[in-house]
Amino acid sequence: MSAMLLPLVPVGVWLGLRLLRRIPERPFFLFATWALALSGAKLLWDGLAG
Amino acid sequence: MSGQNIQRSILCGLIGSGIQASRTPAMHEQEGEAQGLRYVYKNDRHRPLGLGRDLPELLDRCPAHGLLGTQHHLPFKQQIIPLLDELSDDARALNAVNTVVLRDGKPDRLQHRLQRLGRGLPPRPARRRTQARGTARRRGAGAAVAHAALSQKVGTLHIRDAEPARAVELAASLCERFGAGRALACEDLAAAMKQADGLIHCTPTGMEKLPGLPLPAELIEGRHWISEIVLLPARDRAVARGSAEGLPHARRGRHGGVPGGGCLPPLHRPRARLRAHAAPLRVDVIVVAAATVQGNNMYKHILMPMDGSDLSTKSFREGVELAKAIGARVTAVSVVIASHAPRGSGTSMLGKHVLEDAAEEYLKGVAAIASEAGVDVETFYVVGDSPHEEIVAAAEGARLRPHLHGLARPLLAGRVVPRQRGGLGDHRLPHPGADRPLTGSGRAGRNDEMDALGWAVTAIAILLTGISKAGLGGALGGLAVPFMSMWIPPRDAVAVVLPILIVMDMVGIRVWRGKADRGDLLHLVPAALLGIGAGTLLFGVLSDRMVKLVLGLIALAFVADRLLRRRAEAAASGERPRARSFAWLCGAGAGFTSTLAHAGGPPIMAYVLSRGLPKERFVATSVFFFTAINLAKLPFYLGPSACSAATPC
Repeated sequence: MSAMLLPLVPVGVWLGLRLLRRIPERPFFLFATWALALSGAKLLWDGLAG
Repeated sequence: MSGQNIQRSILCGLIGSGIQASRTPAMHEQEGEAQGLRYVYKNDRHRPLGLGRDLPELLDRCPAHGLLGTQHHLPFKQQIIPLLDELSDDARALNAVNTVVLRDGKPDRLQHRLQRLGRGLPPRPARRRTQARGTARRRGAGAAVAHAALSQKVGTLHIRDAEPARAVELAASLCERFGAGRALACEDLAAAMKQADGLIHCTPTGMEKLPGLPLPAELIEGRHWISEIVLLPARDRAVARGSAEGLPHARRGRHGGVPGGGCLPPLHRPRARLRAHAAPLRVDVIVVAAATVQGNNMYKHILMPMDGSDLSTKSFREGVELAKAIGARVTAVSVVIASHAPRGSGTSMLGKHVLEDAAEEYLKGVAAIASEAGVDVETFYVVGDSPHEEIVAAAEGARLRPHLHGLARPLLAGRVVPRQRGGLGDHRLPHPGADRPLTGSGRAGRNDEMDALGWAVTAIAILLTGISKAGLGGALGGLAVPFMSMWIPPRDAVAVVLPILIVMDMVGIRVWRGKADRGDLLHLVPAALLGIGAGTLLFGVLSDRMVKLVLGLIALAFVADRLLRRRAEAAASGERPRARSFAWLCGAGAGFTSTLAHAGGPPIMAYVLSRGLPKERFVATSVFFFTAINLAKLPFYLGPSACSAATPC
């Protein structure tokens, strides 16, 4: 199954690079900060809810 | 108006729950008509009673409505008893009441009132005085019918019950009242049916809500007399079977209201008439198939926690038998406790997965047992520190699941339950610690193939991961497996994603070669290796729940701090000097939490965000770091439990 999904890897990477080039510096870090907040919230939820 | 033209009128009440479809009123009214009585059953179909709370009030209202008596159905056959002044011997013996006669105090008052009614006089207001003449369910209708049958033409009664102990108890009770040897608990149904002249079927099997036969159809022969208390549908399978065998006597009996006094006094004669159905048959032996468990049918889904021991396997077999008898489905759950994994020499993490595999194997065997018995079964194991909490959660999940569909199921139920159906063959239960509780992993194990939804979710997760790794420095990369785990089990998610992540890391290195911050990596990667080592040693000692809780709090605190300082940082934007101690702390923390809780992202994100690197260097440094620690963890993934190991960061 993994082999069948491998073609998605370069597609995902290409999309990511395009996204990186398009996003200005400041919104990028803002997004990264909120992504970290999201991760923290999910961890907190997992820790509380088990 | 002459006296002959005046029909005697009797108004009776039918009290019960779910009685709207009952044919008792029609039967009694027809019999009353045959006797020249205007016999009316009043069914309170618009106001269901609430567990007997309204029963006293309802009885008090009866006289005002001109009711001379009431007939009681479940669940009021016992609840009425404390409200009665007198009980008949039958009712006392059965601890259940079918018919209540309302009197104004004197034993013969009812007849008097009936005479008054017959003369067209209004009934006097009657105070609630009662005499129970009816019978019914102490242990189901079978008990009442058994008493009734023995009090009439039946020589010997063989009693069959889904619970053998109950049949023995009832037989003993009957022998005490009717004489030794009159009732026997039936152990061999086939042999009893060969001896029997007839069959009285007292379970609701055959009714619309519970189709089928209470016994193998081949046991019913043409010579058998069959009677049953099944009310709906009008012609059920047992009677149909009897007719198919050329049985002339296959008919629907009304044993619930026959002997023992299911009718009001003026209707004694119809009881005799009903008894006459049996009289010419000279029934010597009757098998009563009394299975109130079947009748109750309250166990539709049985959850059976399993610990891998022989005793739990034995219990499971019993549970499967019960489920088969009552048409229920079964869910077997095992709780895998990480702290029970063998420790030492860095094997604790693998030990946990060994136990997971053992649990999975054990549940395969359990599923095979149920499948072979033809019982619908699903099995899963859960990881947790507290088995009783996990079992309760599993029970709640089991309640939720039937009502959840599609995408809502994993989101609301929180667990994906693997279904194991048949064909598993191996009934051995290879759990290594027979008397030790199983321990385990992931939310759930799954053994069937991934469906279309799983493929779609996995594809989306991979795309998101690629975008995140290449464009966002892995900011969302850590969400791929949790995202997939909402639809497919983590073990499957890891097994599928792991090779792809490795390829993705290689692609990322190729793309970002030479752009990462070497100085940061020189601190972060060695620290992460130490963190991985510490995490491996402490695996099973620290609760992953606690680790996640602390890490989540730290991540949120970091975000809050960063957002609060953002203005100040904006004024002094640009790359900030490297803080070695912070780099080592975050690197070690990432390795540690990645090993223990599959959550290495937040610490490293916190570090690179604090550095104020340009976005390209931010992404490149993150990609190189995650590639390094994923490679460091690769031996664990490729070990005996390979893809069941921890999620990459």
